Formats: sequence, structure tokens, C-alpha cells
Amino acid sequence: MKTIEQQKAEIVHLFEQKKISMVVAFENYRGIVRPVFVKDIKDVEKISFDMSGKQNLATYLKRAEIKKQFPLAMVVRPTEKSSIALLIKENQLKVEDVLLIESMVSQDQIEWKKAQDIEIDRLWKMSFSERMDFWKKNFQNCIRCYACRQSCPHCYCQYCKADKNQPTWVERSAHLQGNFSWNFLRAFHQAGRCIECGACENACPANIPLMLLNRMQNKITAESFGESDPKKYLLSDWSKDDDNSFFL
Amino acid sequence: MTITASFYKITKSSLATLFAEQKQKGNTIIDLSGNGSDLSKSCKALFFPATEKVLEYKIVDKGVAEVKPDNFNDETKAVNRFIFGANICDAYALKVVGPVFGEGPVDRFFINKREATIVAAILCDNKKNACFCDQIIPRSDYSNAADLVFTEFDENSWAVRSNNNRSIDFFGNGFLHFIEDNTLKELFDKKEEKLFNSENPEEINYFPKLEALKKFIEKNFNSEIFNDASMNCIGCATCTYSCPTCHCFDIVDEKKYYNGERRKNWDSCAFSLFTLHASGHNPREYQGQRWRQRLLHKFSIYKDRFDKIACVGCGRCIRLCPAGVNMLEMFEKWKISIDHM
Amino acid sequence: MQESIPSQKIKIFAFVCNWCTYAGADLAGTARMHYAADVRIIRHTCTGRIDPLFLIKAFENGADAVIVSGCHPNDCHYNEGNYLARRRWAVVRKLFAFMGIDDKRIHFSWVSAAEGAKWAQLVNDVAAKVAQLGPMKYLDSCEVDL
Repeated sequence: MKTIEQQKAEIVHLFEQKKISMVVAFENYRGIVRPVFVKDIKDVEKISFDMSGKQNLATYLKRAEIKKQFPLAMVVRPTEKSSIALLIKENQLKVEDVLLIESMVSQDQIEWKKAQDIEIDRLWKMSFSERMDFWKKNFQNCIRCYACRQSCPHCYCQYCKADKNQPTWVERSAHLQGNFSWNFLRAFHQAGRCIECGACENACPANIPLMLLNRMQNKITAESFGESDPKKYLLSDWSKDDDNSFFL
Repeated sequence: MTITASFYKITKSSLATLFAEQKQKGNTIIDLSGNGSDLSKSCKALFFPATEKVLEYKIVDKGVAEVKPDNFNDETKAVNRFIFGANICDAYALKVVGPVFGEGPVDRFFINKREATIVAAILCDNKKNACFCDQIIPRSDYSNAADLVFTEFDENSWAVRSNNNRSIDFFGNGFLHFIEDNTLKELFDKKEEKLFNSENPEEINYFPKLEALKKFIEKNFNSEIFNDASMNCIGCATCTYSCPTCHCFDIVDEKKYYNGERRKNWDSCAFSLFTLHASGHNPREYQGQRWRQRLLHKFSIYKDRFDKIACVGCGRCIRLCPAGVNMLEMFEKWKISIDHM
Repeated sequence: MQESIPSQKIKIFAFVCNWCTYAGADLAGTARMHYAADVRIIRHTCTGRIDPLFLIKAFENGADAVIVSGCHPNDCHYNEGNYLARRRWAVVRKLFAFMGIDDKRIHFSWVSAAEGAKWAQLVNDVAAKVAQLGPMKYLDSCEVDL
């Protein structure tokens, strides 16, 4: 693990050697930690290496304006590293596009995940209709701003299914049925891929507990098929010994 | 047009009784004064919902459909809804966005709701982080933004400023609970001054003159500054959906076999698909262009068209943005150039 | 002659693969096997193609139950489609349950082209079970009404 001085020196060196034209990192603006895009050596001072931001920086790698700046450097935590590894695995990124500058981890997710585990167990103990009521109450407030989708690095489809209307897969209107379908769709597309960074839940202006869905699915996927394989996506693989018990 | 306001006092318990009476009569009382989320306290959704049915249709034969409703009622609606506890900025936003729906072909969905609703604001105790209402809302409009303005007189009663006669008709005999007291004008003036001039906890160091800002954005149409400023933007719709003056919408037909509904849904200029043409060309392909559009619309185009700034300084776009995009910060960065205008 | 099975007045949407289950259902038909008329069969090339979103749309469109059925493992016309589907459903059925959709309304099966009788039996069983549960009161698509 490099010290802050070492990380800064590395970035300055990369700029001087003209190996990169941009660094994506976090900055601290009046107490708020948020992404920053440094294009000049003199702005390297802005970077805050405590990495306590709640966003996932890898989400910027899907934007056309950012892709034009490849190769670029990114100050990463295990969160961003996992996302970048997944993007490379899924052929969205080449290894040489992003130079990783590893930082110290300061984001403490343990407490937050424990609370979620307790909540997931609580929900499993409920009856079906009680669970439906729980999600109804939450999805009632969804305004379909798609902040969850935009802040997630793994939602990189150029044409999201939710935006198509010929045919209409998911109704665009922010009514309960459409919200349910949208969130179900997104949760399913994250199954086995979600790295549990929490950027989606943090971005949601209606405070919907999206991480409960994603973590629940990751648990099931891990229990059924093992931990995520760096070479393959779990749901595009199979084994003769997969669970067959629920087939009639 | 001078608006003569009248001032009253009412006990909190009398108000509760009045609300109960109105509910009994079948009217709706919406109380926003509790601890709702930042997003839920905006009353935009009460006049312009996130999704709204425009009409129903049923295809009965080739090329023939039954449509319901097929006429849009122009009659002025009687008041049947009372919103209690809105913010001054949100109440003022209804006036800002009114011309879009009220002029030209009248949007009955919005106007009918506005005519049928009385908005009662509660003066904020203090500014929240990123509030800059005083920079945008003219001081005179502050006082008469809502139909009624409430502020605490003491633990058990409200001081009320009434800017028109709508409440008198609505409450009927119940209005007798409001005890007229024109000495309260001083209290309101004082509290409004205090709120208006109060420090924003974030200490905004600079806010441009609106005329200069308008000229600056127009002059820099082709500049790179919007790309740089909006790098953080991830293109979600949070700022536009939580903004009390944003009003763009999309009309969609959603159907099940031969029955369907035409709906009016919120839409956002921040989405990459917002300006996608059927040909595949997208004139606002990059987020910087979309950001420029947002600023232009709010501070320039709307002013030219309706003589109002399409912003009320509520600060939600800054507080709720998941990526840290901050309009005030942008203006501060451009300060030197703006001041030169 | 078999007795006519009366309709249970519920809607079952069946997403089946063309090569096995659809052929099996065809066989049930040509063999004059009677089974509940409540099922609406939607043919796909392979169970691997069946998107979980189809099930959600089935419920939105009034389904009271859903059946997903395809070739037995090792028999897939496209070699691995049904294996991929099996993995997918192992995860997605939990998501459905977690979001509150009763798992007694979603059924999975392997029915081969020769198993017409199994198909008829399956549909009858599911229809009887779901008739007991009653119609599905799925979320209303309603506007935010204020």
C-alpha cells in the first residue's frame, strides 16, 4: 500500500511523462467528497486521497467524453478495482485504458453491510404479502430518475431496456407496476455482477434500499455457484451438478 | 398591482379542527410540514405528477378508437384541496412555472389542480445548505408567494398572512377561527427579512447578477467551460426531477392489447436520449451540451419568454446530486468573466 | 374418452421451448389428452432465451401463475441453453420470492417431446394448486393520484 506522497508523486510522474491526460480521483469540496477530473499537474493538489467518497469512480469509464481521454489514470479502492476488473472481463475496457493508482482504503463498509444482512434476514422471515408491501412502500417513491443506473459502472448498455418503447419492455411511467418492473430488471441484471459498492443506493433521491436486492442476489449466487470467477461471469457458465431440485 | 395582505392569529388546535372539518366535507388536506425527505417536500408533484393519465383509449375497429375523456373541461374548479407546510420557494415556483401551463393552449391538468388548491406555506426557520432563494426570488414576491403564509407565533398558535380571499371562501364559517390582527405585519416583515438575509450554512461567497449571468452563458455558447463544469455529471435526472420549476414532460401510450392509456410523464434534459432524433442524430450528444442547455433554459431562454428566471434557489439540485455537481460553485469559478459582462 | 377437465378460471402463462415441451404439448393434443384450458402457451426457441422480464410482464398482463418448461438436461437442442436457464432461474426465483411474488405461482419443469402425459398432468396440477390460491392481485398500474 503506497503512502499518499508516493501516490501523488506517481501521478505527477505520469503527467510529466505524458503517459496520461487525465486523472480521475476524489476531492474534498467544502466537506463533501466527490469525483474530480484532474487534467493538469498543478491541479494534482486538489486530489483527496482519503477515498471516503460514496460514488464508484468506475462509472465514468462508460462516458464518451471520458473514453476520449484514454489512457487515463484513476485513484482506486478495492471497489473501483473490482468494477474495472469486471468491465475488462466483459470486454468493455482494455487493460491499458486505465492506469490504476492504488490508494489506502478508508471506506468502512462492514457496519453498513451488517445492518443490511440483518434487514435481509428480517425480510426473509416475513410472508410473501408482507414483503410485497415493504417493496410497494419503497417503490411508491421511485421517480424513475435512473440515478441508480447512471451511477453504476456495470450498467453500461447504450440502449437500456427501460428506454425502449418499440416494444415496450418496462413502462416508462413512474407508477407502481412500472417501478417494480424497472427495479426488478436492474436487480436481475446485476445478479452475480454487483460488487456491492452502494453507489446506487447512495444516489437514489428517494432513499430506496436497493442494496438489499443486490446483496441478497449475490448471496444466493455465491451459495449456489461459488464466488465470482475472474475469468467468467457466473450466470453464463453452467455445471452438470447445478441445483435441479426445483424442476418438476 | 399592490396586494393588500391581511394578518391573523390562529391556535394550532383550531387549525387541526378546521382540517378535520374539511376532511369530513370530502376535501383533501395535504400536510407537508412533517419530517419528509427533501424530495417529498416539493409540491411540484401535487400539480404536475411524475406520471399522469391524459386519456384512455380502446381500439374497437380498424382505425377506430373510443377515447375517454374526449373533452377537456374548461370550467374553473372549486377549491377542494389545501396544502399546508410548503416552502416559500416551492410556492413561488408554482408562479414561475404557471405561464408554461397557463398560456397558449392551457394545460388543464395543471391549471385545474392549481385552481382547485390553496397553498399555505410555512416560513422556514433558517436556510438549508445550498439554499439561495434570496438571490433569485425578488423580495416583494417573497411575501406573497403563497395564498397563505404561516409562521409560529408561540408554542400554541400560528401567525398567518393571507394574500388573497381564497381561504375565506374555502373555510367558510370556519374562517372565524382566524382572528384578525394587523399588528402581526411587523412580525412577518421582521421574520421575512431575517430569513431572506440570513447566512446560508454553506457561506455562498458569490452570486452573479442575473443579467450578467444571462449574457455570460449566451456569449459562451461554444466554449469548453460547460464540458469542464459538468464532468462529474452522470446524466441521471435527479436535479431536474427534484427542481420545483423544471417542467419538461413526455407523452407515452402504454397499452395492454387493445386498451391503453396515454400518459404524461416527467422527462429530463439531462438524459442522453432527450434530444435523440428519429434519424439517429443527437444534437446534444455530450453532457456538456446538455448542461449548457439547462443553464441557458433557466437563466436566459425562460427570462426572454416569460420574464422570469426558471429557478427559485431551493438548492435541491445541489443537495441531491449524487455526483457533486454544484451550480453555485460553477458560477463562482466563472466569477471574473461574468462580472466583466 | 377422458372427462373434460373444467377450466379453473385462472390464467397460466407457459413459456416453453419449441423442441421439447412444445412438442410434448402437441403430443398431448394429438393423443386427445384433456387438460385444463387455463394455460396459454408461448413458444420460444429455447429456455435459455427466456428472460425473467417475460415473467414480470406475464404478471402485469393478468397471469395468475407462470410455468417455464424445456428440454431435460443434456437434451437441449442447442446443447447448453437449458443449463444456462437452470442457473438463471436458481437465482431469479429467489429474487421473485424476495420481492413478494408467491413462489407457488411460478413453476419450472423439464418436459420432453415424448412426455405429453407429463405435460397434461403438470398443467392440471398447477391449475388446481393455483385455483386454490385464488387469482393473483398483482400491482395496479395506477397513476399517482392526488
